[in-house]
Amino acid sequence: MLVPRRILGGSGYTPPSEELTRAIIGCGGISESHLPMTDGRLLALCDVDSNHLAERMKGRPDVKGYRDFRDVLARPDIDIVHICTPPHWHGLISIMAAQAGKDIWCEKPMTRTLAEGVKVVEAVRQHGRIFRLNTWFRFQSNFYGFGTPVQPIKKLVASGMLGWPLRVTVSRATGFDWKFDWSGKTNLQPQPVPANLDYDFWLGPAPYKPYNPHRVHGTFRGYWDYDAGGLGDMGQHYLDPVQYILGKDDTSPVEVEVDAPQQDPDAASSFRRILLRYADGCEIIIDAGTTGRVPFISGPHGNLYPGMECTVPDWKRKLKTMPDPVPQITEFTESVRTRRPFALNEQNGFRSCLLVQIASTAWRLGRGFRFDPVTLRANDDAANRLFNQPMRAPWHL
Amino acid sequence: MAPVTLSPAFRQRTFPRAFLCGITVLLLAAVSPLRAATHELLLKLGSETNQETKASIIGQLQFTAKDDAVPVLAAYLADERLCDPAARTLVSIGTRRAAKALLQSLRSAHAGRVVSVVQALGDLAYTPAIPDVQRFATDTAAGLRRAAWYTLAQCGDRSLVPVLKKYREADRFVATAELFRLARRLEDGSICRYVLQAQPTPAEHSQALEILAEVDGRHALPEVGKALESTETAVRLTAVRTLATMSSSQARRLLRDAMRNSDPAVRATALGALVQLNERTAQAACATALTDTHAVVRAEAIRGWKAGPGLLVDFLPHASKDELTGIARVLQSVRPVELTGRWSKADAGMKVALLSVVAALNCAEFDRMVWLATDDADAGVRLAALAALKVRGSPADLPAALSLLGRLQGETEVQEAQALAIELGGELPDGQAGALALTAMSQSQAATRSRFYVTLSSFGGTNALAALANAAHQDDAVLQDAAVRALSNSRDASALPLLLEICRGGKTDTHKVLAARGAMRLAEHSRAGKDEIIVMWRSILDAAPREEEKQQALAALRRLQEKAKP
Repeated sequence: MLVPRRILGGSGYTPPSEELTRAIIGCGGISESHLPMTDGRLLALCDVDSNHLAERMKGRPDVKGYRDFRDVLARPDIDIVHICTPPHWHGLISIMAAQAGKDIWCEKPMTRTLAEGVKVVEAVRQHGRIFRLNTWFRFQSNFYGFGTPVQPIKKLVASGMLGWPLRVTVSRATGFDWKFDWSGKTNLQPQPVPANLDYDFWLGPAPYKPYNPHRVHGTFRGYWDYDAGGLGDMGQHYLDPVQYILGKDDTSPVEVEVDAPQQDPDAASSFRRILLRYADGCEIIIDAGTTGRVPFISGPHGNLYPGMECTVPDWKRKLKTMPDPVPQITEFTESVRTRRPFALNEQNGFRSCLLVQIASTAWRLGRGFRFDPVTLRANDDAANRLFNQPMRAPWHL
Repeated sequence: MAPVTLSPAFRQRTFPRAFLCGITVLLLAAVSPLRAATHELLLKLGSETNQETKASIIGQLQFTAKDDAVPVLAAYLADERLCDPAARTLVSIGTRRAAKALLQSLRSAHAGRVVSVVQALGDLAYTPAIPDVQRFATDTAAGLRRAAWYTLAQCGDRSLVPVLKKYREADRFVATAELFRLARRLEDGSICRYVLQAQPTPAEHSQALEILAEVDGRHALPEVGKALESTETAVRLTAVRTLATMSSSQARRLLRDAMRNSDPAVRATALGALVQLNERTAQAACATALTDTHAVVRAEAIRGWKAGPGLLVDFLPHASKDELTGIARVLQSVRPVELTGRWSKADAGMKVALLSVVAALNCAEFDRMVWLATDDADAGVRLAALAALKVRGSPADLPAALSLLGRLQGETEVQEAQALAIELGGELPDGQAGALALTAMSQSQAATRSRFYVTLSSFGGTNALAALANAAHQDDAVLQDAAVRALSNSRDASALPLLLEICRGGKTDTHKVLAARGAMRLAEHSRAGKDEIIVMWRSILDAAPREEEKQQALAALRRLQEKAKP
């Protein structure tokens, strides 16, 4: 009998026993970018909207569709789950996936609240899972307006040539758009829930609010119950590399200041400027208004502008004499197979998500506060309550 | 998930909500923000008739209300729509009074949504609620039953254990999760042992081991040791990780044994754990692991290396590229003499590896060694030296790099040396690099002079280009060809007249075409003003040898004219 090479394995072939198997939970727009990943076999798709699910199932006869993600997690033959749901589900599904022994590839932001993030870190550690967050600028691709990956920027900062402390401005003026078109609406009228959508399941742990199509698919980011507007959407994309560049993967800012219009209790809109300050004086400015030529990084000895233009004399030559940043594992499947942490994992991902959460909490409250990076508590009761919000029954951490 | 029904007369009014938000924010900014905001919100809550607006106000109270708001909020626990937000706000308040209000609502059967109240009691881990919640633990509604399990587990109710065991088949995922929650809450290893005996999935097995080790410490060793032999990789790895959290001698012995496990992932994790525990045999294990057939184990050995560099340096010729980078990181603290001392006795393989490490280390102490290596008898060593120089070299090294062009033999080496010279010269001021290249060329033998043409073309400058132009008119066809090709690749705009001259009077058609293409490249990338660029293209049009180049020049002129149109 002839046995095909794809069954036996060997050079250039992965036998089924060694092939990684995947499931995608959440079949909205973002899931499209998770589908083509070729290393591994897709076994399951899951969505509470039967139309979304049917669309993704097209042409995939070997893939089984689900409505309830718990049924996906209960399958013992799935190695990796991709979490492509709105952010208010990220924490719960990540925790339950870790408990079910799955490795996790989660969309950004990592979680909606600080408390969910803490529990995800705990669960991933306790169950020895591999976690990656789906943003990548700290380890690949050119970093927005820089025409280069972040490694040379990291190297420049680590060299001390710019001095210390540093101020990083993440602004349209430095190449970052805060996407205020993700703002929510404040005049939503209740509408009948379409038959294809299990709206109660879509809401899950979020407070019940009457259905309106603007709350869900594609536009949910504008509402505090599910995300935090453009800051929630793009924050971790923009700020995670900044945290990496500054070497702040194991700490958080101690202070936040905010300049923003008053926010609706339901819908996020815009801000002008949010400042995050670390204990050593380093600052991250999340800026929406400034235009003109602004340095991305500003230090006592020099500035770095988009396009990798640095004001330090002879910086290129000096930089060549500095060691490169520590290499990272940038292939998720390598992490899964070797059980070594991925470049952007639950630990550093939690800290960079916390940047977004601290900033968005101050924005939502309309006032700054101090924050303790160790106890993870603010000196503001309302902020602490926003960091840890009870979930709608029967969902809980 | 119980559905929430809405009043048929429901109307969502946005004005009151925005107005209330204004009040909240303004008051939050005041001296005593939370109390004042709560007061205002409670007043509005009392006067508001719309259910959704009330829900919104209660949602705001979640972030402001204190204990004195409990009585008002408790009243809403009886309302089907407002019970859930009220319960969550009471959880946020988190006082005994809030918990009592929740329990009272459950006892008086006034809870609008029992599941919300039961879960809120669980969030608060309110143990007096145990008898009242127990009756829901076997409810037919899965949502309520699960909420009851959560609450009882949070409260540490031991009587929940048989219930969860009973439901483990029908509702395995949730029942097992609550068993684990209970095991932690009660610090009761017997619950984990039950799961271990009840045909656990690999994930359940792993979690049971972790919790067992957490609550039973060294008494968990038999189960953890047994798990090392599991057929499931995930379980074996959990066992190793669990052993790493135990500092007993038995745990260390099991970790040492795990170094003989057939699974490379287990061996690697065990080695990492031994290093982490500072186990006395860890470094010997690292040394053994360097000879492991699996890269993942060797990588762990390199990562954990704390002994002297001897064995690690011996391993260098066998190391992969990634391993060399890892070794370089370990060797960062090693004195240079310990690496340079190996050089005199090293064979070619060792020299290549040493040079790779030196490149990764990127420090000045090894520069002499690297330059020496450029004269090595072995071509591989010379190439490795050139690669190291690309990392280490500075513009001051350009003369030395240019002199290599006259000495090196192989084609690849020459190309690497050219690339090195171009990189180093690129950082020098205009003309300086070209002058150095001309000097080096004049001192080299005739047979190697053409090697400098590429650098002259790259550096540019009047003298360098003139030298190339002269070379392009030599009688020696090979040298002439090299000069024309180099000139055609020039990025210096002042090469344009020379290229146009070759276009018109080149000795071969190939040279004419090469020169035309070089001229077009210069015109395309020119930063001169529009008029000047038009003149450049017209000259190219005039000098171009073939129809094809003429058409390209015409197209470029057409584009420029279109751009100029308003």
